[in-house]
Amino acid sequence: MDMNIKEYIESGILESYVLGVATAGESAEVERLILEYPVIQQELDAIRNSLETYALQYEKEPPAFLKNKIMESLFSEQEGVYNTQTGSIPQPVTETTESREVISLNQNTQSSAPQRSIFKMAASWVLLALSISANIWFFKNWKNSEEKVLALESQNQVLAKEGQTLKASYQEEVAILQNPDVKIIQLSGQPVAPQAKALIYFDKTKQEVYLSALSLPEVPQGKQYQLWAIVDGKPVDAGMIDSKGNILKMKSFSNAVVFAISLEDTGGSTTEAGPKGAVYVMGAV
Amino acid sequence: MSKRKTIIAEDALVALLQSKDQRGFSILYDNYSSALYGVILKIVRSEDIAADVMQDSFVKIWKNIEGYNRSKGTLFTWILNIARNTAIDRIRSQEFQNSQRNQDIDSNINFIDNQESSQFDVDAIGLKKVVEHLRPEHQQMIELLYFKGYTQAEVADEFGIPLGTVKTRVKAAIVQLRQYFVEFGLVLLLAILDKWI
Repeated sequence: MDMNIKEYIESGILESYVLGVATAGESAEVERLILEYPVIQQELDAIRNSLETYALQYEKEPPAFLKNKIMESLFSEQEGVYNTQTGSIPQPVTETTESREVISLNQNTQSSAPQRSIFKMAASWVLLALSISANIWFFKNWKNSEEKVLALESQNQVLAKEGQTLKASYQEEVAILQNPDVKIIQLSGQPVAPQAKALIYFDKTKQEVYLSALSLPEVPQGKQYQLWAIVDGKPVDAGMIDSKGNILKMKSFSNAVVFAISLEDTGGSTTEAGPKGAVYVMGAV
Repeated sequence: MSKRKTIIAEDALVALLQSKDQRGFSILYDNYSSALYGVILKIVRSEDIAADVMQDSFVKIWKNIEGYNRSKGTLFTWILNIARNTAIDRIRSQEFQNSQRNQDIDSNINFIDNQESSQFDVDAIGLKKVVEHLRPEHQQMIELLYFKGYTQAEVADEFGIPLGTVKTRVKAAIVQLRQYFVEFGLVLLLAILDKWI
């Protein structure tokens, strides 16, 4: 049956019906089939839409006087002539014209799709275009966001690494502080800088020397602090102090008795030459 | 009176019309008179007769609106058919009186060709170009059947075309119209996208 309906749609009878040129028999058949097959109704609507859209091309503003004339003929005269709303209006419309309106007046169909004009179609397309544009916009935004997320992720990885490094160094420091073998030596300020301070963590068994809690005057340009260990009555280079970081690992000693920090030219002095600059802090083991 | 179109739900408008409310007919006129007048003028080809047919059409709408309901299609479909049929009846009665059918078909077709440029008023969005692509024999079928009220048999008779061919052409013409209106939508869409991106 579906096949027959397809053939029926192909036959052109529906077009004839919409155009009002179908025979009475054909019209009756169309009206019967509408009830049975919604697809026939859809097809009729589409044909009607096309023809009406076509007809709309000829749209033309009627002369200005016409509206008043028509409104008067409907309302002003009607007060006297037509009087009631029962519709018994004498008018130049003959009965034969009524019978032509197969489509409009005698049609007895399901509700038809309201869309009919190119304007509605255009509106649909515009909406579709807007929707697609919005999608493009959202897509662009989404790509942007994705890039940002990637950047943040890598940033996050860097931070995580830094965090791990920090954690490791703190764990190291805590381990040093908690080690009972470690002796804490306070280096106190000397005459050049009485307020200066520093701490040495000295692990004799492991021969490890750590420097911490530096509180020294700002290093002048071209100068650098240097740590010395007094071994066998002589100062020995214990390493340059590069930063004021938490805990600095210095050179190894086992038998140092005193630690001191002097201000030297950048690069420091040698064990042979001994400290040349002033000693800022000093403390005995 | 204002020429501006009023935005109103069709059901509300129908209710106004059915209660013979003057506002309803005023809105109906403002919203649809251009469409109706254009079609009527195209059929009757005289501004005087067109105005007359407009009035007749509105009287018919007035008279029959109580019998209208949505199951009969949209209000526009309904009033367009009234206007079209009223106009076709007018020219047919004239033509029968004058028995000038043969001559008139030819002049009608020439007239169609000649008047296109002046009558495509609604071409703000490029519709005209779309319809110009309709093949001449297809356009002719639509003109004769839709605007002149010819039956397919009459067309076959007048033009010496087999009835089957007439039916095929009518079918093809409407299929073409449908395709073009869809393509027109696509073109519009692409134009919009083009500007956007």
